[in-house]
Amino acid sequence: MSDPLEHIINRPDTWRGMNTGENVFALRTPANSDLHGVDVLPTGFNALDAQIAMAGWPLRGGVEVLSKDSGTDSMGLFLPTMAALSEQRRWQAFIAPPHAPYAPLLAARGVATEQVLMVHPKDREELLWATEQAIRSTTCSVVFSWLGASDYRYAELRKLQLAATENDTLVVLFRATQAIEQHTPFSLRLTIDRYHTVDILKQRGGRPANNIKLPDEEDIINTPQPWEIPTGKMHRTHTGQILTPVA
Amino acid sequence: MSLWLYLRFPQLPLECQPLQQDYPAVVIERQRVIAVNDEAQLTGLKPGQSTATVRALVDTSQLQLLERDASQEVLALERLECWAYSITPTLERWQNEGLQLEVGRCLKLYGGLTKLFNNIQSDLEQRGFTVRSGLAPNRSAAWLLSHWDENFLYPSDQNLRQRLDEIPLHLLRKAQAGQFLNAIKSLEKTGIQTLGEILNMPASALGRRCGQAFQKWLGDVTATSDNVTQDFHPPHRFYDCLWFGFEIRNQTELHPTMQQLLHALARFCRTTQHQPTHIEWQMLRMHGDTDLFEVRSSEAHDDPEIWFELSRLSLEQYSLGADIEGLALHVHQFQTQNAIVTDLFGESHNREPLHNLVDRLRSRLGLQAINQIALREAHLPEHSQYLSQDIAPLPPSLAGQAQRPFWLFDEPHPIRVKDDVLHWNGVLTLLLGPERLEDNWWQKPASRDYYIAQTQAGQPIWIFEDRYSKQWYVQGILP
Repeated sequence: MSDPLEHIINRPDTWRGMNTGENVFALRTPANSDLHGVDVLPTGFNALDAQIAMAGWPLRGGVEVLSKDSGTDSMGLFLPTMAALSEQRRWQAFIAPPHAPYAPLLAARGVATEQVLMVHPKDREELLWATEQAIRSTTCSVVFSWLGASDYRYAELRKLQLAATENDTLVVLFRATQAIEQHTPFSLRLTIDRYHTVDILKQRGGRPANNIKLPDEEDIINTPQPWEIPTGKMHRTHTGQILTPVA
Repeated sequence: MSLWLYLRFPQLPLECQPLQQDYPAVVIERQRVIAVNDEAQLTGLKPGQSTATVRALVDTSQLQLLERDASQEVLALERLECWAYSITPTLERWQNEGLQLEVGRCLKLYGGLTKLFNNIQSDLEQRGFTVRSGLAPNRSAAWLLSHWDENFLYPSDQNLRQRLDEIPLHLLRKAQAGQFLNAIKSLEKTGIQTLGEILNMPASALGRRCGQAFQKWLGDVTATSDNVTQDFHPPHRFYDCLWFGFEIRNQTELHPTMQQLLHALARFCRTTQHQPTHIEWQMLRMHGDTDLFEVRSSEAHDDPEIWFELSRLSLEQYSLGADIEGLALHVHQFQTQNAIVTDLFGESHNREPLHNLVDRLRSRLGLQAINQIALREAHLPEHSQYLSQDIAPLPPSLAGQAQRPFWLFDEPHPIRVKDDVLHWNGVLTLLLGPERLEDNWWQKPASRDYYIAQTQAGQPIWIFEDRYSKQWYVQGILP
């Protein structure tokens, strides 16, 4: 539209006609048509991609992660994914997170911190509702939802899974290890019991796999210690050495 | 050529007031009935009867006897003006009983007169108004014809005259309500029965007999064009209300009315190039009490579908009391429409706008339930980040720090120290450190040595020793 014309149209005293027969409540066209067909996203870990039948996170169908602490440890598993998804400029929803994520770390790993949207539901009903809303709306590149140790009916989870199949949002649900007893509707079920060690319990079109090691954090192990060591304290390090005070 | 559609609301005194459906109702003014509904008509009530007659005819405990409320009639007409502004910009209120709409210039837009007229009728029916209409090249004739001819034709100059000719004089007298009464009476005495006969009289004779004013009026009625240059200026606020006429038992019964009002708002917004960021719903109760609730959106827009969804979610939080009689929609402030609808992150895929999700979640979970991480200048980790409720793209200015936790605890958790060994979920092993962070020297000085330690399960965590208190704490969990 040319600028002068647009200027005139946007004046409040310009009258614009409308077709009175128009149905303003008509449903909109599906919003995900431009990315239809993109179904998989590399995890960022070759060892893990090799064991997943789709060679990455399934974008339609959901990922369930079981752990003792219901998804507090080992968030490193999803950092490469979050960094890759930052390009999409959509929300990365954190629903009922156990703590606040720390922005300086996210930034260091290439995650767009302004995309992290934290949602704090009051109870179980709100948690399920908010998770479904986030999955169904096309505004999230990823939805992390900490479902916690509560029991969920299969129908409730199935509803989330169905929503997850409808568009290209990666859905990750964190649950307690006890949920292992229950049947899951999700495409991929993982468990993380030891640091950076993933077991695939169930996957659509593939087999279970155990003991998939993710590489250790390079930041921690191979970085020299540039700092001055405090005086008057001695502590044991992982190599068994004693840090000796420097005068 | 101008073409005026006159919409007359003969039942306005009744229809502008809250009424219970399916019960007889009459409106009285100075002890005389001026309007009755269908149910009242069945019991033999008619306009013109005195209140004494009404009492004689009907058991008044079964009757809704209302005093005329002229201010309500004006308010109803003002709302109808806003509604009509979405049809045409040229319109005016006429004799406080109807609206004149110039439709000649917008017939093409609506695909012809029949289509336009059907839309108008169904709209008014939904809004609960009875309408009589007249169509003519000038306003006076349109008004006159609304009293006479219900089946209007496409008018040309010729058939306007034909139709005027047929109008009987007694109808003119009734419609004019006092004006030119003497002139009409004197014409009736001479045996004249229709308007056509008057129009055929020589002008000079007519002027002598009936006066200049009447002659001028006849000129107006027969005029072939009637152009008004001044357009209607809609108000800066939006207010519209609908009465139910039945008792509301649950929230879903409110939904159709909500949609209807939002639809009206969308039309208003579109014709005025304005968009709201928050709207106010008013539950109208008996005896004039109202309950309010507000619905907000982070971006101004006029999409009735989205406003409806947000309103529906807000309504779920709201306990509906008894005796709700009507629903009103009020918008106090508008923003001028953005030329280009921008997305929050400046990029629009073929997707829903990002703020929609925030609005939807907030409508049900509350404003505080949704936030973002925001940063500020501070050395201590717990002060360098806060949770912001202003959902907006934040400047991506942040320089990252790699040796930091993924999760930061709100409050540091104390670590138990026994025989110089740190215990937190088992024995801790130090991996890396220390890094000294100091701050807050002007209030409560803090000096901490931070280390990365490993739990017995192998999970790295972020811990520190407070150099003043010699206490150890966990502050976060590494990825």
